Amino acid sequence: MNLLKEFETRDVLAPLKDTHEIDLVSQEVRPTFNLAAYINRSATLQEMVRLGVDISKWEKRKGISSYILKLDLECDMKQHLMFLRDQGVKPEDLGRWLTINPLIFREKIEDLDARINYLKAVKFTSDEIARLISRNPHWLLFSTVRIDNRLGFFQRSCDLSRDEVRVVAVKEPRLITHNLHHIKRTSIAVTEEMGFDKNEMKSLMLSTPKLWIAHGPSLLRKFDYLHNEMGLSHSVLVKFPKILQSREFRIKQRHQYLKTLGRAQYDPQKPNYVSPASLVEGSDLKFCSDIAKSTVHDYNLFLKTL
Amino acid sequence: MLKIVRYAPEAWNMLQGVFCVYKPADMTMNHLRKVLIGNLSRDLNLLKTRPATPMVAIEGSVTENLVVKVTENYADHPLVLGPRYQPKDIKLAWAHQLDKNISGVCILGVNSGTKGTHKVRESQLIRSYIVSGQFGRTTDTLFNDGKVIGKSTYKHVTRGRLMRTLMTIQAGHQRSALHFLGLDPQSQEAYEALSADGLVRPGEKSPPLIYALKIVDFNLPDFTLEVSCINENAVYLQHLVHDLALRLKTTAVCTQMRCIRYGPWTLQHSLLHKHWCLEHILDNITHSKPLFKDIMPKSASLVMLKNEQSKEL
Repeated sequence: MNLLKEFETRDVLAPLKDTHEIDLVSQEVRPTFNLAAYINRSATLQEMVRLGVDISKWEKRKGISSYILKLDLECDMKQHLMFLRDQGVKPEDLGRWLTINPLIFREKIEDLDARINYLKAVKFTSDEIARLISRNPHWLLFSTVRIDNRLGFFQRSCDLSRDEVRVVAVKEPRLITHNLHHIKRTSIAVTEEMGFDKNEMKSLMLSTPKLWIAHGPSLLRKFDYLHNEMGLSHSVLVKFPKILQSREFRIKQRHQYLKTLGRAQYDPQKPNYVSPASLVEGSDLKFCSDIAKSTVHDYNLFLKTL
Repeated sequence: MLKIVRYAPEAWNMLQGVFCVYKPADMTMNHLRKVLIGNLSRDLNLLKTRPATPMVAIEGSVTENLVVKVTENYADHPLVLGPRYQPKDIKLAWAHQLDKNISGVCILGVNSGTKGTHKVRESQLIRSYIVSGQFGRTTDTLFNDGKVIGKSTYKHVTRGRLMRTLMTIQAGHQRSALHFLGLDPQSQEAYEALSADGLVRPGEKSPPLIYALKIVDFNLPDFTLEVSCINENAVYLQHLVHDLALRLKTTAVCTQMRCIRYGPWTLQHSLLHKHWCLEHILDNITHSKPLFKDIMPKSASLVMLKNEQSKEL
């Protein structure tokens, strides 16, 4: 600062005392809306990009850029990166992981160790823990007490045993840290609005926990079409839960096509049975040749009449 | 003649023009636009994009040697700046906003093609719709999904009666077409316009004008009409079905509206939802170019349709 003030008042034509001073006069680092302005000077940010982190996504979130710029790779970040690697997050996956959760550096290493110890105490294996943390970067931000409460919530609401809660958590780690209000709303939709009973809901939770993360109104619309228009009963839907996960337009288009061909037969007792799973699986080519027994060209012509 | 394009900026330069899409039935135009823009930017980013331009750095000290080096520029890296093609970079406009309930041919223009969509709209092209209805009930929205507010019998409706009502409506429209010419009905130009070959199109903005009404299917209580018109919208078509039924002393509700022609663009030109990707859209732009050239009417106010279009009516 003093040097700069001196530069302002000294005589320009007089020779410098020490030519090293010129090296110190560099471009000012000004406020900017973009991390790209700082990255060529910051070794920390460059290391992040080398790991594969998408910094442009960090910029979009409030407060992340100003937090990250204050961190130093050696003191603040290295320990966390080693912790993640030890727990089983693959190095090529680290970029994606840090893009989703840069706030991991705020947590103390002792807290993170305690949370992993809790998971081991609840009898998750180390492979399972690696999967939990990799698939759901937000898991480690939740304290032991919160995770315990969440696991307990799922156990109570769906009558699951402790082993089954573990199976659900490993199958869909994002479910455990998902918005609780949304999960409760979806559970109510499944039991009251769609009419599944307790056992059917438990079976759905064990086979496709992803339904509870999906968009509620779309799920209801899909169910309405499947149950009322196509006539698939609750037990059939529980047997083929994948159909509840597929896109609404695909179900509608393929069902209507089969209907015009007279092949929309979902009762296994009758001939020409089409299983609901095969209705939505596979490309249009496979669907047309195997199930509809016609050509893709014909299917496209039909789609233009909808 | 196929051309293989692997470099994204080359594909971007080709992504200018008017193309034609088959809009699915339950999709709003805004959503369609977002889906298309998202698909285009995703596909452009998958191609080989512009590499990061290196940075020229001057390193060293003034007292020793100053070295000029060309170094890697992190500031131009896609992970720092974001993907090379983002949704906000692509301009997409439509020629006519189709209602959520209408499916069918929909003309869109991308990047510099947005001026093309203006041209398409001003050309006042004839659009053909397949409108399906069902006698016997009427709803508050005049469409299938509304609350039923009235029921009636329809056994007395015959194909002949329906045909006669359609003729009446069509004749009424042809009479009022004279007013929308914007000419003095007693003048020589008006006489020439009416007696000349081909159909007459209004010079400037007019209310919906029907040129042809045909029965495609008559299967009580369902019926299907083919309507060729100008300046229509979804509400007008639904009202058409409703009024038609009232004239026949019954009630009807509209079950489906499908646009099958928009000027020279027909169903075979339009792209299905599963084909909304860069490759097919670029193809479609190329195929639409010859169609687009001929649409602008030659004279200003008194405009005649091309004979081919009037023949197909």
